[in-house]
Amino acid sequence: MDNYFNGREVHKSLFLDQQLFEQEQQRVFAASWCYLGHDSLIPETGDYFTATLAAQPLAMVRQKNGDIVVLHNRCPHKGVKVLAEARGNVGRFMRCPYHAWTFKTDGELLSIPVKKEYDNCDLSSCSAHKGMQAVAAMRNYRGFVFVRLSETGIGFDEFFGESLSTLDNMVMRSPQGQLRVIGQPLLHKHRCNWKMVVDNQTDTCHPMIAHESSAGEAIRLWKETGDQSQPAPMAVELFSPFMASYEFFAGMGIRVWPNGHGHTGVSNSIHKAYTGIPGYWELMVESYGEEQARTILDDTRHNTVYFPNLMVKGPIQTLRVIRPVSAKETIVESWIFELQGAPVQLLERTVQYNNLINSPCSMVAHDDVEMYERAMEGLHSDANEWVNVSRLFEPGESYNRTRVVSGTSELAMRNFYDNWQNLMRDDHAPRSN
Amino acid sequence: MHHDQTERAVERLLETEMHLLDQQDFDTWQRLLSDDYTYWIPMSREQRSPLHESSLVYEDRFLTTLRINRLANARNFSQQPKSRCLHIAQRPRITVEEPSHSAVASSNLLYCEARGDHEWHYPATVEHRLIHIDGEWKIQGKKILLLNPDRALESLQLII
Repeated sequence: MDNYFNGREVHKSLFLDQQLFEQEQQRVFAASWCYLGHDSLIPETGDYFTATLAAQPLAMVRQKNGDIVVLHNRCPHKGVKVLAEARGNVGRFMRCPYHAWTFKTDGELLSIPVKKEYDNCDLSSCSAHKGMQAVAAMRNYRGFVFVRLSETGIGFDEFFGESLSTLDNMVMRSPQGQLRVIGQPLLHKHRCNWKMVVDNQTDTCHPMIAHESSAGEAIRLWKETGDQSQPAPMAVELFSPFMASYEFFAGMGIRVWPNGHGHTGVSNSIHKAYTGIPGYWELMVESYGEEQARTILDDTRHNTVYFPNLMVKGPIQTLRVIRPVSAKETIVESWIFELQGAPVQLLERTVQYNNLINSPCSMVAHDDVEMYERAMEGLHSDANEWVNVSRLFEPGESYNRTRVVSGTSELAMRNFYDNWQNLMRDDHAPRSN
Repeated sequence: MHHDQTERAVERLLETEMHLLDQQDFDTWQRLLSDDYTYWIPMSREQRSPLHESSLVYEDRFLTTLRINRLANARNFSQQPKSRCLHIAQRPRITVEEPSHSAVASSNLLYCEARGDHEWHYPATVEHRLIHIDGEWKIQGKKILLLNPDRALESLQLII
């Protein structure tokens, strides 16, 4: 079978089939530009950050000249992972703990103990000679480090196109145009397929239903017990918009871009009405001038999904990496950023948002995860093989162009699945639109 | 109050607290808390600030009440079926600070949560901050240091 997406439905095997999952790692993840990490994780020479992408152990390492190199984190000798920690510093060179093969910070093989014993083996014709190899392609875009694992495939600029405007906006929310990662990411394990989580990011018809017990209860509790002459606590301000009406979500709009990217919150969003932070506006005007500062802060995009597994929330400075573990297991990493040069209250709001919404202890996340996990069970039903994504479908719809539609449309999901299906079919071949 | 008496009173309070949490008698449990109560599960054992870094939980009375009210809401989908919990604790080490009428208790704990076919176990050290107000000991703060807060956790829904 290769018709997994028929325009209005996706086949249930996308969520359940482990064989499909393994193909997907190769065809979808290796061929796409995937987010690895932010360069503020490794500010100093020799700093490294490790992560796994499409089952590949990788490490990004800061070089002496300030550049970043992304390496396959594997000793070319016996396969030992050379860099063991999530973050650290390699020192002047990297050294495998097993047999002391050493490598320059860019991965080049530096030395082997008693190397003359390899004199007759023509080591230069062995794979081991290549040292710790760099990934096929990487790009540091304004601090966000992306990699493409496969040698051939679409270029960075073509892959993202105008969708980079969401990252631009988040960066420019800093009066200094700089972001800094803060602390560790929250890690929430779900027993579901990763695409269910991606799907949820542009699903504007679930918050008022699935989150009624948390967001609705927050509004009620504040009304009943709070001092109404005082501003509502930050938590109430962060929770309340989840209960906004269908009309509100329809009005905020959805934009899709080629190659499966898209975002909710074109002209309005649930992040629009947050209370102003004293002093921030003045700092922004000083840096950008009044007109540009207004343009930056008025762009309050809700969720931007970067195909395949990154979600960015510019106005609240968080991002989620939706990491596939198996067909039936996903880990959602939720990172936060500080806007360099902005008042600290902005970071405090970001922290509170991340705790309240993205933690494994989040009363909001609990209900989302419950839906995914119940779907993983429900989809075993043979009564219906399809998952429906047809809300506001337009006959003759095409996906590889930028469009703005109603915020309650499921077009962003269809745009995602269309790109997913194209990649699954074309086995690494570079695509043109 | 005599030092030994204080220690016994604090021990009894912690024991009562665990019993009430395991029974999910949250109304009675909330009466053990001071108005300025905070509940914190940091992301690392070294984390200094709950305000400037992410935490698994950092909440005040309002949010704790919200969490409890949600558990009783008819549309608490992730609580259908309901979770149960069990606190298994060692005897606390108690430091009494007489001048401020306060105490700190540190207990090693195995917190267990179960729901449907699943069961989760979290070894942790719990730090209780206690305060003596109007003749009664109240819980002013709880800080939970999980043995391994770095790993990816599944949903943790009740109160440690």
